[in-house]
Amino acid sequence: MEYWMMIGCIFGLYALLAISLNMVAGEMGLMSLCHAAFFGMGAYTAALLVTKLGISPWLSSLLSPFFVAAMAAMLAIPLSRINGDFFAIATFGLALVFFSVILHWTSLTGGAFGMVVDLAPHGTGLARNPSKILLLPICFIVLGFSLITRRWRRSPLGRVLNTIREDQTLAGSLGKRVGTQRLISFTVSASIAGLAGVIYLWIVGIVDPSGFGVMDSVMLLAMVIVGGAGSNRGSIAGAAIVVIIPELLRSVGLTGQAAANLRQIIFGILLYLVLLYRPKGLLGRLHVGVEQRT
Amino acid sequence: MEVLEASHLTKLFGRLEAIKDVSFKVGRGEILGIIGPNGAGKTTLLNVLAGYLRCDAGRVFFSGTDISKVRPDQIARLGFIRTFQRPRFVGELTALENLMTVPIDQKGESWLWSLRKGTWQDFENSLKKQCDQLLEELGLAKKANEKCRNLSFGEIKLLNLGFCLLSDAPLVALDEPVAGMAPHMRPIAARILLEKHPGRSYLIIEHDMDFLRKVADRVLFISQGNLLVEGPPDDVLCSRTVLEAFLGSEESDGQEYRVKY
Repeated sequence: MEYWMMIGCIFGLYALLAISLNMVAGEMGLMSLCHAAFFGMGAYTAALLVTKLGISPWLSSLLSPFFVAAMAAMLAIPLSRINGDFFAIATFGLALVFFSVILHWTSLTGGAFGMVVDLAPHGTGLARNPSKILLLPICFIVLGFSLITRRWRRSPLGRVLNTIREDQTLAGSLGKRVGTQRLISFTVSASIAGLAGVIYLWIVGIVDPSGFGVMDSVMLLAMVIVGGAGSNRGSIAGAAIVVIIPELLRSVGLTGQAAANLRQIIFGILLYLVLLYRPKGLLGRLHVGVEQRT
Repeated sequence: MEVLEASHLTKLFGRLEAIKDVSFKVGRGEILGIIGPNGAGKTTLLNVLAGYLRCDAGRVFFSGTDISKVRPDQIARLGFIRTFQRPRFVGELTALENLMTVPIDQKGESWLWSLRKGTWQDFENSLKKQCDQLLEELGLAKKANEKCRNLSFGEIKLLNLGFCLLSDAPLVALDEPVAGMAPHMRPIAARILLEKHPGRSYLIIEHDMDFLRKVADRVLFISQGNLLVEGPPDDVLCSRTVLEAFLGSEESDGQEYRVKY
């Protein structure tokens, strides 16, 4: 039972990451390859605030997404004029930088071994079995952000974002603030990923660089593509597939490194098939990534 | 006071002078046509005026403000909007939704207010009515809920005209508004252009001379980046320079395209 609760929590985290990435990759058509970096930034920031500055875990958890938002807003400024493939390349670079920093700045981050951070007070239920207690809050958070992003999508704001996605020149010619909207969208998306990072830290109690690399960002993007861009159901479906595949492998007796590798292969094939036969994804409304009309 | 004033504009592409020392004014409520052969610099001129290209010399004033170094979206917010030669649209949205995107700074476009539907619902409903009516006038009522990617070129052209009609900008620049439009749609465009927003100024680049004769108060003739002739449409269209440089001879005045307005 505990095991399934853990799976549920992980699924919730992936769903949250996919929903937030969809804001950039789906709604704005910008192929971001640094989403896992914001996820990691959220976890590391919370961990460092607790261990290095001695701030209380609750306050750290609250501050961390805002720190991620501030970093994302700063990065969004140089990114705001880049489109298409160039955006993917630029964010790929950012993901590499982030991964290098957490891997090699050993005195701060603990390097490849990471840091053990006990957020919950000792002896409480939260420390003994975090997934049991956190499962419900995670569900509420996922549901909450689904509703919020859906409302954005179906409001006049959604129309503007759609216009920017398809034709920034048109959006500009109508007096829409293209750069500002892209900045806000990127920032909000990153801070939700940061929040997911904080929750991850609460569940796992340890942060290390694995899970926050470029390949993890690619995996998140693949989730949005397979599930379907421009829809929360699609994003959640993508997350479900990523969580279910290892469980299916386990049920046929495959575990460990072999299963991890096989998981990537299976997901790769799935991605290929989706792009070939269903370019909008399983439940999607939009293509991921668009070429701006010139 | 003039709505738009271009003074000594020059635009270079490398060593090519696309626009050479062009100066003109657009008065309040005036409809100014711009004609010239292909490659004369008409669209370049418009791009410079609306902020899409930075001019190498000269200034552009909009209602007295220097806009020669202002971004296109800010110029649009000041009240000078434009259409494009190749019409632009959002294929994923319906014709109605495309139109409803036009009004600037709608409350529901804010990230916070959009979450509270009550604050923008009323405006949204009245905007929808207004857009439905406009689509009706444009003859696009049947296509209102059709995704724009399924519309014909001419319909998209009309829709782009609709963008301008919905906006309350005091100056609108149209880049070949009726080019590629089916002949029977052109009179619709002309009529709507003249009837809506009587006090508004227009800058119209167009090859359809009959269209310009019908709507324009004054016409500029541009050739190889130079402003050569300026005056009332009939005078300019009949001037020797224009006939020689642009039309070749009087006979080739596009008889087959002539449309009755």
